[in-house]
Amino acid sequence: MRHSFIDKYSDLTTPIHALHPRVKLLVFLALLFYFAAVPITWWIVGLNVLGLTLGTLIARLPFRFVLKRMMIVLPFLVLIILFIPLFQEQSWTDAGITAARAFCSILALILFMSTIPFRVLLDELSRLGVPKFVIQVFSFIYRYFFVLIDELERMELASRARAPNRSRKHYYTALSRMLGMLIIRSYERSERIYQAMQLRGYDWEESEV
Amino acid sequence: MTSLIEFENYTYRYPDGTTALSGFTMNVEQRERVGIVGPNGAGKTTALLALSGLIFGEGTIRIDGETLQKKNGRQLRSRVGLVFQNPDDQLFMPTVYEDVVFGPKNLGWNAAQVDKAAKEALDAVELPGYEQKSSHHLSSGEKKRVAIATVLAMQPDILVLDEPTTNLDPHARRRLMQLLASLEISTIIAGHDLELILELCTRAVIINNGAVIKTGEPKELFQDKLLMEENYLEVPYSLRKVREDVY
Amino acid sequence: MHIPDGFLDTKTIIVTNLISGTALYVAFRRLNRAVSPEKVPLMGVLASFAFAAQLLAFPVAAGTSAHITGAVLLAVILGPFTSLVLIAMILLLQALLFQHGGVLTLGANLINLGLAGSLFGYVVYRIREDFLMAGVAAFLAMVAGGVCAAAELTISGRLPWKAAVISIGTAQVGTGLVEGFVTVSVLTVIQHVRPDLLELRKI
Repeated sequence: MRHSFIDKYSDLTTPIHALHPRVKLLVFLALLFYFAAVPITWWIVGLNVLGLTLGTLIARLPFRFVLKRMMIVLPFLVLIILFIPLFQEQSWTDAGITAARAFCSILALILFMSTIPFRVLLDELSRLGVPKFVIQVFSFIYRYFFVLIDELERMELASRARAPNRSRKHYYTALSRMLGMLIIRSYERSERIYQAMQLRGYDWEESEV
Repeated sequence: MTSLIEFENYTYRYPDGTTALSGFTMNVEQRERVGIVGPNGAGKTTALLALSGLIFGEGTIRIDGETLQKKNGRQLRSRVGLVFQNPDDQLFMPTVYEDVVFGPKNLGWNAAQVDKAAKEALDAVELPGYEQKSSHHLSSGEKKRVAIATVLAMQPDILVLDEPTTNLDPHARRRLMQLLASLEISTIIAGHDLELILELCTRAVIINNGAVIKTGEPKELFQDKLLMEENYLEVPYSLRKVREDVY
Repeated sequence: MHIPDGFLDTKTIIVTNLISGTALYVAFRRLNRAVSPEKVPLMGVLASFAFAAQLLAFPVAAGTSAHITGAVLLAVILGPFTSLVLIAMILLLQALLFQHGGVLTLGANLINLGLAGSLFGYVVYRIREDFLMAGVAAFLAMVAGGVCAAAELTISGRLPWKAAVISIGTAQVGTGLVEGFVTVSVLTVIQHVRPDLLELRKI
């Protein structure tokens, strides 16, 4: 299955990609705090959007890709906006400001993650003192997540092929049982991975954890 | 000259009681390519796991004269390059480079040696320049070759492959066969791809019910219809003299 | 309920991160002492599983769908502290890789899903330690998590309390029912196929 993943564009060469990972990390975190904390006016919003758009251009990220990912915050925004007419305490401006904060934050996040390859990020985290076994687990999650999604998809497809007109109850039961099998298969896979690791010399006492 | 690999009367029982190998005895000499064939459940994979020191049973296994035991298991293990059937189980790092250097690093080699080993291994499997690629996004043929590279990087004495051609399309399979033919390393290939074994191996071993049934030249063995069918195998198509109906 | 960035104010961000950070620190200490080599790939792959499972959409009512977290499930199998650590990792990766939930809001989300699920849910589970209790625990954990989320949004001044509790609470009841059902189902499957998975050492 073709996966859309944030790392797609992280291997490009642009001035932003070339920045040192720690710089990117610090700037990114600073931006997040800024967007969360600063009292916002429309003027500031405009400036921020401009700045981030500029960043997107410099990093040569396709706009469609960025916009698509930004849509994630929509459900939450709808939730907030939906209750404006019902409760006088909130105003449209407040909702608008929240929306602005959310969109700016997510744009910064997309910019950050699209300009730093995942393994570089993990390296940086490791240098910042995150324990080695945590980095290893992160690494595994990233590696096997797509594999599991594919497995799940295959199971779901197989079940749909055998029962096209299902009741919701049936769907729930089938999906749950598939999850049960998936967790078992995952466990067994982890046993094989451990064997593969042992085969290549992985041993507790020697590796620095 | 001592055999490279020796199984002597090796028996292994799984925790639930099933006997996987029973009095298993076979040798592999230096610079040989041996094919192990047999029906599912015959004990092929178990034998390979035992050879790699991942499981321990009764009897003796010797690698280049040294007896394999729990205490020297770790060192001897790196001399046996076992490649699993499913590369996804064996490629567990985010990038090809990290997977290939995992073994050498664990062997304690220094950075220069590690890097050199990785480069040579990737060259040997004809995937130079793949270092930064993410294993998940490779084709099955490429994954299989990277998996082989991960064990070649440790410079083992013998390459052991479990069902290497599963899930490979004909082109990838052909390329894998060309690769294996070009590698000058003792090899064991276990599996069902009889044509592969015919082309690549100088000797074949038929096993069933955990024991060796017969060993000999692949062509001779595989032509023996009775022998093959007794062991739930079939004469490979290329050796059939008569076109039989599908039955 | 993954709260994205921009929805909480600074004070809430700081407090929630402090609370979660402390809980994580304790969990880490426990884990570090007890984790053995085989556990690393196991944790990785099971976390992957939870990550993948969280993407599944369970249709609830009229077009909406619920997602499970698996925090209680992981706690029952691996123990509360491991579950908490894994949920934290999943949240971080979800935020970074899929923009599902924010980065500064990790503390809050960990409270809503991890502390409510892995810790509180586990405590509830321990009342009787059978599958039914696990389902109940998962349900209650979701509801509790929802209440926390509502509180965080209210304290940040984004939503009035009543609106937050009603909307999020209702959603979480639905999600909780699904989570409870799935938790019991999955445990039953494991019991049937590989019961030894339920006998692992729990941290």
